[in-house]
Amino acid sequence: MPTSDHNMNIWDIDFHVGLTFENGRAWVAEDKVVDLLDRYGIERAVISASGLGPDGWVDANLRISKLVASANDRLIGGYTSPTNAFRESETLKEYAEELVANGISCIRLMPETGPQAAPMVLGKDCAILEAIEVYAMHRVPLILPVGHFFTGKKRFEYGPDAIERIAKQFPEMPIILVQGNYRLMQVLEGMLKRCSNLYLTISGLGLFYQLESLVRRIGAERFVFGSGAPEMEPSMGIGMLLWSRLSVEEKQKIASSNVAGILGKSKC
Amino acid sequence: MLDEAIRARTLRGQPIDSCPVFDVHGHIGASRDSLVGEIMDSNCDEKFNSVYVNLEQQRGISWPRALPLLMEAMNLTGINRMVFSHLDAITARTTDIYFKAHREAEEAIWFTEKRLLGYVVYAPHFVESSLTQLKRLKESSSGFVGVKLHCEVHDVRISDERFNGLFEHLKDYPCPVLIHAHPLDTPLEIARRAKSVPDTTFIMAHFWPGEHMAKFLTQECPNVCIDICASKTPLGQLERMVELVGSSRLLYGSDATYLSLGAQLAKVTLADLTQAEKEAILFQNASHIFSEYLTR
Repeated sequence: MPTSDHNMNIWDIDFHVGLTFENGRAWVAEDKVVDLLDRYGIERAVISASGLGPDGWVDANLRISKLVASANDRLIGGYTSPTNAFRESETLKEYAEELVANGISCIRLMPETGPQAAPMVLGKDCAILEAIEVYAMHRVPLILPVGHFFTGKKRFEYGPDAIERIAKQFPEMPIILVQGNYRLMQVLEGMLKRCSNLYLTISGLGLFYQLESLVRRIGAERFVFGSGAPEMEPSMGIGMLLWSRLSVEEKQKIASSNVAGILGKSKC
Repeated sequence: MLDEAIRARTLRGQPIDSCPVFDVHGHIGASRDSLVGEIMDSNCDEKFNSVYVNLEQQRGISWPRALPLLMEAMNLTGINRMVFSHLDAITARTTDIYFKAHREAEEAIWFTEKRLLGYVVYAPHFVESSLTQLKRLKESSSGFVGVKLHCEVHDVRISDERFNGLFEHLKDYPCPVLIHAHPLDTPLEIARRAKSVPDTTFIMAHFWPGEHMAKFLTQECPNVCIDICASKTPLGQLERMVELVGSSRLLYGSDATYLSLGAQLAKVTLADLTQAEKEAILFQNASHIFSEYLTR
């Protein structure tokens, strides 16, 4: 049996703190984050937050920064950038330069929230591409949600093609696809095979032996642990991984080594 | 402490060995490489060998459903017992396929020496065949211990008259019924059916009817329980459900070989629940519901 005789070192690349404005029941209070990580045996987590209003993303990043400072051996800032500039005098590129100057280790594009919010798009002529270019120059890993593909979810209006185009345009920049679920696997598998800088979190790969099967075809190097909390229960990804039929080495890569390597690529 | 033991074993990826985990929601399915079709015509030694030959073949399948890998996953996680239904019986397009799937299910029960027990699938499109298959429940040698309804796949709501024959049968012969509800089924419709056969225990699959209505349904019907498997579960849902309906009304189910067995089990083993609550969900409630079948 390919079990391990020691606790895996688990790093979580996808942990949202505070209200998500997607689910009224499941959310994580800021003062409970470390306790929760302890319960799940998660050593370190990249934490993100979202905010409402034009400067919501600034407030969210300040909250994350404060939280990281309070437990910097456990928490890594998953800083966010909006996908639209809110003032005529500002550009997304400037936001990116400011974040990079502050030494971020990864970036998550976060669309506005609320019923009237503009959706997040990644089209060819979008201003966000200038910002992505800044992140790419500094090899800042980019975190992108993909769970909305083909669902018509109004917050996100980009699909696999847009991500693949960005991945090919910036091949040195790691792009971590989060919240992909088992229904999308055919599409995501194709993307992972075509673009070697794409990585996928495992929590949504919930079918029987799906994780083992994908690792066999694509390699453990391309998968990372991301709980997707609070939209997803972190225990699911943990149980799926630790009780999988993968080797101890493969499990450890997915549990933390891959994420550590990806975050280590940032030149910030 | 059981709680610390199962948490520690989960985080080491070791099988849970401190309690006899009972999974009330499993599946097997045939494929062209399937084990079950082959062992029906084999003697015991050949059957044993074919399991392991086929185990390797099964690894080449991107979403395997056959018995060998289910048993392997049960051993990896430490699942002691499972009640399952055959996927082909649920998706059968003809009565031949429906009966063949149940024969294969019996083979699996026999082959695992009743570590796996079976649900008879009641297929509302094949009422006569389903009523015929239900008779196997009364034969202790068959290893069938309950009934599975998949109202969503069959696209037949629980209130539909095609289920009346089943409920007549349950009046004479109450047995556990696992229900995957139709998207349009309501808690009131389920309650109406559940109240008509109070000696039958109903297990609502996949946390149905969810956090908003679970308390209503379980208070209204003492014979309704809820299983916890779901492909997507928000953080803390199990804990909130325990608060709403009590741990005595929740059952561990994995939905393997549809869903990952480990992902569903860790929901309980790593939950913020007491030892007693975890024990209830992992095996005590199911052992009680299926008690009369475990000894026969």
